[in-house]
Amino acid sequence: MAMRGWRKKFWMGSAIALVALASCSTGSSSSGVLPGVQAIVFEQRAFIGADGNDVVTQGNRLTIDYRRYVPGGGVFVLSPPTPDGTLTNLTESFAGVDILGLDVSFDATQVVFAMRTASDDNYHIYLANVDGSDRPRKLTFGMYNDIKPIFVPGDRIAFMTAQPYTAMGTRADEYEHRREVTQLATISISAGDADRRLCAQNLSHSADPFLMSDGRVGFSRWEHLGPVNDVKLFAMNTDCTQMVAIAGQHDKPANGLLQVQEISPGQFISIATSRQGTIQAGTLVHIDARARSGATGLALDEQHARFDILTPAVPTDATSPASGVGRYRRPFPLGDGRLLVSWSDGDVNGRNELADTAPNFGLYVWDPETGHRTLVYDDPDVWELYALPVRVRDIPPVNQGVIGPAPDPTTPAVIGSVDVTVTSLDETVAGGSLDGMTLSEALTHTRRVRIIEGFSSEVGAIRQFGLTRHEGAAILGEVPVLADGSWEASIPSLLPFHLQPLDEFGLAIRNQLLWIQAMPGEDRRCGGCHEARSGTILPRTGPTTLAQQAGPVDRNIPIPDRLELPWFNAPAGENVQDVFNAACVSCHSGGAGDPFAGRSYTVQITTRDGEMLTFEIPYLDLSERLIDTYYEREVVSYPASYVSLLYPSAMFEASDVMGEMPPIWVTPGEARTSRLIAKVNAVSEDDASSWAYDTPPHPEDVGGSLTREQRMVLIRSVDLGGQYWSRHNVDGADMWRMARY
Amino acid sequence: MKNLHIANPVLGLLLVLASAGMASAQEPPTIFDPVHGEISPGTAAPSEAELMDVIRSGAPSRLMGLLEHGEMVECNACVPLLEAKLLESGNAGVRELAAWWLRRRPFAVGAIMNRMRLTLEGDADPTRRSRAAEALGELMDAHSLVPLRRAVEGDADGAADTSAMVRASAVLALGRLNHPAGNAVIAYAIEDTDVSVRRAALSVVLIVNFYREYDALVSALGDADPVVRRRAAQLVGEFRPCPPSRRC
Repeated sequence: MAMRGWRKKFWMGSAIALVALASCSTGSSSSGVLPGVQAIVFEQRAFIGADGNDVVTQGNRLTIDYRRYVPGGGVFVLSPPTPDGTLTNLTESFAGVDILGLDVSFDATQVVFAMRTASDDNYHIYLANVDGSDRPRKLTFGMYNDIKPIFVPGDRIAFMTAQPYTAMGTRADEYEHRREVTQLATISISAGDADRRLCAQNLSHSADPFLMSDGRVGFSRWEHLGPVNDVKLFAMNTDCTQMVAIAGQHDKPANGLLQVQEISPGQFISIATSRQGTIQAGTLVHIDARARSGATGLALDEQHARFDILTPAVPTDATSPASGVGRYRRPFPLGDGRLLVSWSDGDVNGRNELADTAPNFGLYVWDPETGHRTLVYDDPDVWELYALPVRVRDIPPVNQGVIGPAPDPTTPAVIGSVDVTVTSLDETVAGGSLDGMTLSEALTHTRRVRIIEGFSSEVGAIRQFGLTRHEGAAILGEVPVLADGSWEASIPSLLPFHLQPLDEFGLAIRNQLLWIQAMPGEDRRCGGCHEARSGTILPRTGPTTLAQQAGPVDRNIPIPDRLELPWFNAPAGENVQDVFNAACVSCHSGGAGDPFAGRSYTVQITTRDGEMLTFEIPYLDLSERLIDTYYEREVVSYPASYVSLLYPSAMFEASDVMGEMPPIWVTPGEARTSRLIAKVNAVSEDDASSWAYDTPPHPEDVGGSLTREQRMVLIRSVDLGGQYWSRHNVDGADMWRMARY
Repeated sequence: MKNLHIANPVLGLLLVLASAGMASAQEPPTIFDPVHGEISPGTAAPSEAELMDVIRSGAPSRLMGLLEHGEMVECNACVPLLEAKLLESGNAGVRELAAWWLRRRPFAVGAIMNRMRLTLEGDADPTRRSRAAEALGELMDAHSLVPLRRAVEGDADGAADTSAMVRASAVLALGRLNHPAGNAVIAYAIEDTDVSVRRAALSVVLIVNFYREYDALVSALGDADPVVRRRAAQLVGEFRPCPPSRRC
């Protein structure tokens, strides 16, 4: 690629300055930067478009940038690894190349990479020889992106894919309505797509797989569940089983932990940055996830993972660093404490967009002793990324699960706990009969575990799931906890779930805000309700739990049999509104007997034409009367019950709201602390005279009545997140009623 | 009269914790709230003034990030500015996130949808009509099915749009809408006279639910355009539809 004039001048000057700086700071020439390494392999990505202008904004938004196709890149071997080394282009025979991730085989003879070409609509996995012999071999061919491949033991390749899973596609959170979130998958080197195995789904992207020394695959995972919205570190076996958290679930220095590599067992090097707006670049952070005490051998403890920022001058968010500080991408540990990194000076954020000037990532060795970078290679007209030394490495143990045929996806999985009362979480429970108790004490009151399936607006044409940040939800079951604190259930494999331990009143004691999943036939037994990772939880009553002895409760049920809680417009008997219609609207519909009659607040919206639209929201109206947002035939909004109950919790900084605001009737995901639930109260499943709250149950206090099941509809609806939509009231609900999975 | 500033204590707490975290950028903030669960660092909601400032002059990715974090910020003054972005921004990501934010405004989205429909049906500029169609898809409301279908097929109330760019955008919007009644329109578009529309239609077949219009896919195997033929072959391979003449 020809070097443009200004860029060439800048490059020449910078190169001289960098070499001088390197010499000053390290006392060695760049030719000695990587002693013992004969060659490195890396990818070049173009950032200059066909019109000659920089392509800056594409790919800047997300943790992964597979929507940024800018042709002009390639996979290169640099030998020796110096600025004047010889470059070999392994993808020279293809036109319009863009590369998204690569890895070197254990014997250092092959490179696997993800490439999109001019003649392809998607990124696919390719295999090439490091020496450049033979044309690269294409291993995947689907109508979806396969990216970021790595070699894993068992002659397989793990990577991320946007392949749809079922008729419903891949679960994708509300930010990803394209239904193109990336999930993990593997293929065999010899068979490619013919031996393709999908891992269990998350509701958002998974990204940046890396191999761990114990043979597991680590990866970053974008977590979106209610108020949670960030990128954490996970690991799984190469057969996709035992997906577990490693770090970032309880604490971390930035929103996203990306492009992680293992330094040694339990210790990792990562990029920490905001999830978006920094072109996947950030500060270098050392992660130590080793359990500090109580464990025999190596144990990872994600609750107490420690983070040490190695480049403190680099912002952990999208703000601009000082000149010369720049940002880093994918660090690779060289084994001597130093890191092979990509680095760019400048803002590496939105200011690059405003200036229409892309950052320039080059390859450097970063020394933790001095904090200095030493140039390895930089072509100023392209980015150099994902560099790896070409050298033989040990093959970690092969997971036996990858040997033999792929599992049948219809085979259920089993989940459960040895003793649900065991926890390491230092929390206090608020609301209901357990108000003020420690979580540990409160969990001794657990009667059931609610299993909640997550899905998103891939179910159909909905603007969002309602006035809530929670995704779609369906209850697979509320499984009894036995006398020893154990429980087990068989559930559909591959889907994302989260759990809620319930008290005798059906109220969630805690809401697990993390998706869990299991592979076909997998047994996933937790010790407790987030037990300490450094200990062992044993059954209270013998070698096996009571739940194991009884066998798992069968909750491997098809979609129509799962309990969903549509607010309105589903068949009679399925709606939350049905409860209000039966027991509440006689008093709470604005009529003469309504204690809140005449009380309301208003929301004003000024349209682009300058027209002022005013909407009046009742203080509390539980009727199905539609709030007047009907406008020029286009939109009918939610019933009064939904707006008056959910709007107070849905918006904030609402300076355009005028009038008397009601209390937070509903806190989505938390029935226990919601005013609505405290008012109606919750009754014990054992004793019809035992109530969760000290206040008199309502409407019984005014002569009305609600059955326990009616109360449970309200409690479940709030605990799930206060969604309006489900697969039962969306257009196409009749199709969902025939869908199994 | 009471103006609501922070109506939600959960989010208020989020703001407080996030602010504390920002005060000392290098000290890892505690992000686990014992009552409300995990609070993610760096996702603090912006103020209305911050939102307005970035909408007016911020970089696209900064705007997109702030809109996401400001998902629940009630900002009346932001509505018309973001509505303008739907038709006027040259950045597809900005248009997408603007629609994402606007569709969370239950009291504003009706008027916006109405104007997008009117733009799609009557604006002289095909680029604006195309973006209006795109916005109707992003606003994710089933009421947009009718105007989008009309733009592709035409109906008793109006002819199909004469611009292939607009028809292609309408097809992509139907894919985004993911309404079961849109599947027949997508199938219709697979036989459009313009290749860009046919390609657009094939690109959404895999992302809508319950697509069963297999005949259109089989017909596209004989398309004059090689890309259409390739995509059709991939889709036929994906669905493996059973020919009417055989028992499968």
